[in-house]
Amino acid sequence: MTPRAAGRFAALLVAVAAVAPAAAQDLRFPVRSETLPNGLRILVIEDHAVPAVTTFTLFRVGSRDERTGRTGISHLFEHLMFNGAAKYGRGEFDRVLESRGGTSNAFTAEDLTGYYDTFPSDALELVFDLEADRMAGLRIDEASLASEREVVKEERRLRIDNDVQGGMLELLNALVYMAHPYRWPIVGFMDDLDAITVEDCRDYFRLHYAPNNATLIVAGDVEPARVFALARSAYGSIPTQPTPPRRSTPEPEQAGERRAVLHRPAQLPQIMVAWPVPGTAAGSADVPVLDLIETVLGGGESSRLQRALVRERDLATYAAATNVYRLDASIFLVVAEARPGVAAADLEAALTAEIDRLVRDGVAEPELQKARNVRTMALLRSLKTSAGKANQAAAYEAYFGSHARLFEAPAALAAVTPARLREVAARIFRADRRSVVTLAPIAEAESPGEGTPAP
Amino acid sequence: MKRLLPIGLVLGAIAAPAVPMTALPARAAARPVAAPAGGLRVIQPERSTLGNGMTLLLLPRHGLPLVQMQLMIPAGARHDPPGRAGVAGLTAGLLSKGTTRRDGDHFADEVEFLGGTLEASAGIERSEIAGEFAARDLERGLALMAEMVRTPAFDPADVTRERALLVAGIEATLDDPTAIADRAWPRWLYGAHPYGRPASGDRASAAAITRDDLAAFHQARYVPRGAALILSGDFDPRRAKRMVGKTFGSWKGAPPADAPLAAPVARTGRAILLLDKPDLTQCQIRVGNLALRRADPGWPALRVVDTVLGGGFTSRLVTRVRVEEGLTYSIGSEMRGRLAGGSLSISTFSKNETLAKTLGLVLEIAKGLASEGPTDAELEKARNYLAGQYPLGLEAPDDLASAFLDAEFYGLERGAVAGFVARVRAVTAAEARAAAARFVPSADAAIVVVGPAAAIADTLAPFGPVTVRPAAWVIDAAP
Repeated sequence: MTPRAAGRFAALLVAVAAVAPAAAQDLRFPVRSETLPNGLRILVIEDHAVPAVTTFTLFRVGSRDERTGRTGISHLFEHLMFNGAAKYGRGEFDRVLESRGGTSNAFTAEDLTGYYDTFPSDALELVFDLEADRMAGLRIDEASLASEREVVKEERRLRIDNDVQGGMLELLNALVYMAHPYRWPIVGFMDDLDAITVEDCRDYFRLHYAPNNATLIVAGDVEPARVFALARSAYGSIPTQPTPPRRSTPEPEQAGERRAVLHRPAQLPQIMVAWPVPGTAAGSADVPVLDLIETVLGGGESSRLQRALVRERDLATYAAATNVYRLDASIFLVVAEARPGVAAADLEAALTAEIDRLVRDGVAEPELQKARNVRTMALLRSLKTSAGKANQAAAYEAYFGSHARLFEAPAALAAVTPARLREVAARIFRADRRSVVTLAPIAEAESPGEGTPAP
Repeated sequence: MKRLLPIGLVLGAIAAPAVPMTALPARAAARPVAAPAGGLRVIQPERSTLGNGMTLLLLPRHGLPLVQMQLMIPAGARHDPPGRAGVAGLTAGLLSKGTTRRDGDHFADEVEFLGGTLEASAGIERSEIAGEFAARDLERGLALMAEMVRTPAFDPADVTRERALLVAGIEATLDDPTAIADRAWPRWLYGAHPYGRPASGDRASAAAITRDDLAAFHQARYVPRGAALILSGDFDPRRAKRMVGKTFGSWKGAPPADAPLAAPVARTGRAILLLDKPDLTQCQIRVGNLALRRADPGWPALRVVDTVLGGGFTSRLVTRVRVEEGLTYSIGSEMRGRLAGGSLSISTFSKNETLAKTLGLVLEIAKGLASEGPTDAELEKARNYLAGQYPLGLEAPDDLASAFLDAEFYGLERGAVAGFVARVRAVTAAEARAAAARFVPSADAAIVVVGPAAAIADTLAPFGPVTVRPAAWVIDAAP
């Protein structure tokens, strides 16, 4: 921090020192829970703002549960969940749901797969029937696999093969992880997508899609007692299944910087720098500290990277920091794009200087308080809708083991002191632990010439 | 274009606010629908006019201790001076970069220390300054908003930097095939009409913008008459009114009278623009034509048709192109309504090898819907779908506020926000058939494809006359 900038903060402190972060109780909302005898955990969040409901069904399975040769099966399988089950055949799930005013979608992450539905409150019983049907018995055949495989390959082309940052992230994960399956992309590799068989999918379903491996979250215009009663009747008869223990090869400690270069046609160089951080599963107290560092570095216009790289030194068009949540070994990621005429090396040097300053000088209390305020308000803002509440409850269940951790988040942020932040920064942001991916733009292949109308 | 559905992003956002890539939202076909059902209680905003002509809408809703503020200025890229496309956008971008009272760093510190947000952006027809603060900070938030709106400094150093970033951003379009197609299609459809102009400007016009251009635009257009401010969330209306009077009451001015925009002219026949990106393995496809201005009474009927065509996961396009044929990951249709006109367009993509098959199928599906109209079952499903999803789009106070601001700007009839579901339910089969015949694009269509010309140009020829241009066409001004 230049002395001038320090002065600004001191001045700010006087002006706004009286401001405290939004009170923790503002974040709180009642959550009722029950676990069925077959192991299905159910959370209910009552909110009658609009006559609609959101459900999330989370399965504890994701791309990290795959093996080489079959990468991408979690995500491809997720697509198959919409392609027909025992009662509702191919295409029926969406057709029946949309006919009642609902809609559905899903996502796959490294550590979990989630399905969600939003619908008018009077369709709750129907939605449970649809969801329980596909949890109990999916129908997987050659035809639907063949067609869905092509859909997913288009998705890979969209997100990775024809997307510069997608390509960089794929490379970065392979650089950071030597042993852990986080090294491969969630969407999988093309050859593996081609190799996945119906048998693989049936095995996958049998192993992972069990009620005891799932959490159901229901939020919106509902009465909890009725939700539990309907859920018992819809899901109660789905049998418990043994699920495989999750493999997690501990990532060997990194000794020395790792670098890779990606050549793609692009306008401007970019860099991604990652450092290993503890996963969320271990309950590490580092997580809120790194969350605050994320905000100090990259959260908003007043953040350090925006200020230094984009505004003061004219080096970057864009700079961002992300404390990535993964259950096991995770990463803290910084991304920046060079301004025209700026070399990637100069951008990287400036970025490194900002990280070094963080490690050397830490963050003074006013700037830390600003970061706490930004994060607490962002959490509050995410709870404006019942879908938002369901989403946050789902995320905290998945990454921190309980939705209740959401309510503790403001206190966890408040407990982070400047000294603690400095200690964590010094331990995490080591030059010999970083992995760097540089995007080196190359010229595009020859164009066939301008303005030639085809016949 | 938002293909990633918001919930996946929010979940990713916990993990990754800046690069939300850890979670992969998997089924991108649907787009979020803005659409209320039985039992939805829509409160009407309290409407008043300040002495200076600014409209004030108050939408108090007690819940979370947050307040949202959205200020709409009826000026956008269509008011850019000749040769200076991008002025409205750059003006909006500079509002938060320093005022006559404090520089951009101090301004950002003030807002962010409160955990608040304040952002300005410009579209084709209007600009918006939107902010959100803790309820107790309403007065402070309003004061900051008024400060950036009324007294931006346009410091030359900030202008130089933001202009360079704007130009770099325009050039970065070339790295993103989706962005190329989304930027190219309106221009290919509307030609020289202002609706064909990207709000950011082109790279030469953006580079030519001076500080004086911005100051002049701000002076003429950032005025209270014609502007509308809506407050939503947890506040006391009487106190809020006083605060607004204090922060905006002394603002003065009226905008220059504008000649009304000419109605845009629809395409007859097909015209294909092929933008060449030699290294792509997947082609972006856009197909569409003019449809309805936002305030057209036929809007709800066409929304129903648009849903049958490409809304949700069971539309004709999704069912045939994605589910049955596996040709794409995402396909959908979209209505865009503006003051003087609007469009209906289809968006998708497919690998180079199946481009022609995909485009052929899209045109065939569109032709089928245009000639026969929706079936009764499709109509019923589409009406239910729109009605069921609509309340979700109004749940957050600021989403409801946006809906009222839209109604204000486009001059929708009173009750349009609360009455949308009833109007959708009242759409008859005959109305839907007529709307489909008139507006579902097939024989008459502006088509844009982004992909490797050498490999695909010939395969496009059967669909209509093809004009090939380098991808950079999209960031340069029309000659």
